[in-house]
Amino acid sequence: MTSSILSSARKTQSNDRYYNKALLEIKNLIVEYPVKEGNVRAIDDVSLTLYRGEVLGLVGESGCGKSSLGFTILKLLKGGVIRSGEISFNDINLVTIPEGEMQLLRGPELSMIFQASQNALNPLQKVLNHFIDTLKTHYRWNDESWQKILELLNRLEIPESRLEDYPFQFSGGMQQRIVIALTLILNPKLIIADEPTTALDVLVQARLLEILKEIIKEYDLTVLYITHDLGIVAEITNRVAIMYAGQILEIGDTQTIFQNAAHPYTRALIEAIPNVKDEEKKLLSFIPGHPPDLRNPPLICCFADRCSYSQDICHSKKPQSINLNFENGVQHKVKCFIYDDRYGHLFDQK
Amino acid sequence: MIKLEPELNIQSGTPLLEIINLKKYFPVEGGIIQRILPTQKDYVHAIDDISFTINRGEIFCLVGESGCGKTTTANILVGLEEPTAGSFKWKDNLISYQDLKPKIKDIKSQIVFQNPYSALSPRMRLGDSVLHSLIIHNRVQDKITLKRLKNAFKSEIILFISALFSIFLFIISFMLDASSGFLIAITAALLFTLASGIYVNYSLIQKKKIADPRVLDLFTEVGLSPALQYYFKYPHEVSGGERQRANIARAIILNPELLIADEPTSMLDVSLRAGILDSLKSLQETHNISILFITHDLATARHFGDRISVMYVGKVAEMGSIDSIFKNPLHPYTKALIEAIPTPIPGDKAYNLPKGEVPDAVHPPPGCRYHPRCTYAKFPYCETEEPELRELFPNHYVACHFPLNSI
Amino acid sequence: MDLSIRETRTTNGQKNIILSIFSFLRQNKSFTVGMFILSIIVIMALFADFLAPYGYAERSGDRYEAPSQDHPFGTTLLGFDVLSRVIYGSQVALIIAFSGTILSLSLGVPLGIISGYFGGKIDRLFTLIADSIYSFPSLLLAITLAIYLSVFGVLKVVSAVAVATSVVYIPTYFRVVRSQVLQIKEEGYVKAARSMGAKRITILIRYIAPNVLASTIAIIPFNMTDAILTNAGLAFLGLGISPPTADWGYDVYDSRALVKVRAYPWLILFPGLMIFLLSFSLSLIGDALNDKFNPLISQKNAK
Repeated sequence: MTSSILSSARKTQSNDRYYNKALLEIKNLIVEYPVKEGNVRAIDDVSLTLYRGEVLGLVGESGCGKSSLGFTILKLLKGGVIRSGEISFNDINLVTIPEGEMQLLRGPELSMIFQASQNALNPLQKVLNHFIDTLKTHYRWNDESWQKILELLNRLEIPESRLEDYPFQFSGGMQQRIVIALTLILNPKLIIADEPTTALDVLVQARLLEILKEIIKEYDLTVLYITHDLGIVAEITNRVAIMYAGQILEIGDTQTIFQNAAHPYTRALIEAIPNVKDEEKKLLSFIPGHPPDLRNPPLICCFADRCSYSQDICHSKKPQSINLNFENGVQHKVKCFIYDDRYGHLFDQK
Repeated sequence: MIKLEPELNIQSGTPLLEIINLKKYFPVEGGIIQRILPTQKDYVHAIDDISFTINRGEIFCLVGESGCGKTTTANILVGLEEPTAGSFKWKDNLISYQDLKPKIKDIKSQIVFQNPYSALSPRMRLGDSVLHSLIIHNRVQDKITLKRLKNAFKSEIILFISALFSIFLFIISFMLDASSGFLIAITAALLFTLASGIYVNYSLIQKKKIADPRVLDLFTEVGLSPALQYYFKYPHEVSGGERQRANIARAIILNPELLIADEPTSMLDVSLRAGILDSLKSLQETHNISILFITHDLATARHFGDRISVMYVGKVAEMGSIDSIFKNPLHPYTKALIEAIPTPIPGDKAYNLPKGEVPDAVHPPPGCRYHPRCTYAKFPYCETEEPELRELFPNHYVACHFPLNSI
Repeated sequence: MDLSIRETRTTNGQKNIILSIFSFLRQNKSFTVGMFILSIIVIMALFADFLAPYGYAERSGDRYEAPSQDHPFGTTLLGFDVLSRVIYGSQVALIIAFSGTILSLSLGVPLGIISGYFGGKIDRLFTLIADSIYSFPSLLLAITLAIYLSVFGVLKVVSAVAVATSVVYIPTYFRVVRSQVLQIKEEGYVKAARSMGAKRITILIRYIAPNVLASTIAIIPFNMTDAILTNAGLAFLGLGISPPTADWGYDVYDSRALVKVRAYPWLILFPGLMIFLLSFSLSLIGDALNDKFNPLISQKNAK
């Protein structure tokens, strides 16, 4: 199995011609939560580039640090400390920027959609007032605003007649749509969507995803889509980053990740998802064991304990990110010794 | 209507529990004015006349969106709620709910809850939580465990008595109202509390050394090994998956004939889900248990269940064997649900999605409950006449005037 | 105590109770300081007969003697030694604190559990009573009760004060416990026990009570503090313990006149300081326990 991956992937230097300009660049970011027993390393040496006009899926299981990463970009992290690394957004370094300036960026430049949208809406304010308030706070209220609100409502299939209603009169799906409309009205350059459809029912979720997909295309949005559901990722994203134990283990094109995943974890994860459209009933596979303790993690591969390919080297060293290059020129990075020139032979023997 | 060839893989077995015309209405609590004025009372139609049969040794799935009544059904079957109406057939004997309830109490059906974080008492060790189901039913026979329980009980009694004694001493000291009385009271009470505290802690440690062999065996069986280590852990010391395994152990230890699993994997990570389902399946096979598997995730039901019933706003929309339903969905709602689930295949697009949301269960739509959202409904009597659940193919029932095979 | 043991076990498998207590103390500085002050006061109360140089109502010197070698804290109008009175006063303070707390605990907690678990009419009645007690200013209620109980001779003065302070706190326990029970009643493990066919009493004792009691532990020190302060307040108003008995609150009351405070500051300083120290130490303990047992915080830890 490993040899087949090796044959399909050739290791070369990184190749950026595939994408145009970077909007957000995260370099070697380390975020820790100080606790009594030491430090919980929520984000461990994460490097990530988000290009203009793409939808990047950030996938991982609970507690892998994917939400922490979203909050870190917005500098809304509670209790966490950025130990090192840099986040540059549009050539602004978000790590060193003072809070006052960051406040100006949140909303018109960077915006976040949360999982529990109900909490984002003021229960005592009519929906219309939310729009007006949002625009006025950022001094964007002008003659065209009204037109824009109506256009967005129409786009998100929120009936105009319900603008005078209060948030609690809406269903969960509708509330989430209102929150998305509120986010979009400021034309943010980057939207971080943290599991926006998780609490919704299947049918509502499917409809919302469809709308989201259309809107992303139409408004040419750049989205960091954080989720645990690989099914949603397959549907909505251009590229995927797989996160595990605070690290990005693999990042690449959605098509490639799903058809030709390189990292053993990604493969196991994709195999574990039941597909409703399978012809035959089949036994689902799972990953034995559980994620490592992030308190003072040892310097080894974080997936080594659960990996079916693991060798001695995995338990003694930490793998570095390696560029794989597929024939179509897609940028693909993976953190695994199998693809390392120096250690790859150890796995081939097996 | 064109009749297609019937499906060949018919799941037939002896019925274990038959549910006939089950109804559950919850009264809507109105405001003060509604309470005073004699207005007509509103009801949430959580379950509105459903019937299905769970066969012996099968996994019966109950799927639907939130608010369709699947969890209420589970709660009724384990005795947490009383049904408004309905009768039951337990192993071919027609009985009322009042007769079914003692059977439930007699450990015939057990439940695994959705939320592994709240389903175990945070102050009980995993082993004790499991063992407690045996204690409730007086099924503890071996001497060591009994002695251990007695010890624990004794330490609690001592604590209680010491507390009472100290209150007594205080009252005495009030009566004396002299400084020497205070002295006696404080000294005695403090010493007593200290002594009892030490005793309780001592007995806790004593407890640690003895584990019930049955629980240990079961822990190994559900995948909690080394069992002895897990036995003495508190719920907050283990992960969600392990808690859910302990939950399963607690339900299984009473040897139920029917196990009700209410979304046992929906709060767990994808990589752990299949492991839990695997354990459930092997337990089901070794103990020959029937499982009522309640979920909103059709993909899991597809690969885990034997038969399935799709519910919509308190009604059964479609029912039949898993293969037949997923290969040939007859109800537009079932088809929409199957379409709507995101698949791990890029470019796979859902189509024909219904618009709108699940209707209010207080005033469900007349006629077919799905007609306001149905992408196929074009006949006037979809809006007026309620469709009956009828058997279109052997063992494949659908409640639709125009099932998809007729279009 | 239970919690500290569990902690050490999870970190290094240590089972020794004494060691685990030490590690708990090391981690919680405010708890340790509070415990230290409290234990000094407890020792003072227990061994007052040996520690006090004179009796609490013994004319051992002249009136208003300034602090000296014989009388480190000075003397009062009647020539009583202030140090001895301070030492003996700790007995009264602790008795009031402990007994008041135990009385309100033993009534408030069971009532809260019953009211929360069974609900219905009992719940409405209990809540009504608790709320009406709650709506009273607590000191005023304590004063009224203390007067009635002692004037009509139902109880001795000390116990009257204790009862008065405890009645004020019963609704607090009741409310906290009731809301906790209402919450825990809906938890999965209670439902699981019910679905297994457990009896109501089993569920109450096994599942609800242990989970509720933790939240009341955090209230106890605050209750004690309040009992001490209420007692001091009652004494200050002249309604507390009768004069010859050593009581900090009464001593403060007795020397409150401005002239006296200027001329003989030690009279008010030392008893006042003791009231402060005792309530301060209890507050420290309460804060530490609150951090440990507060349902919100402990839930976060659990997840």
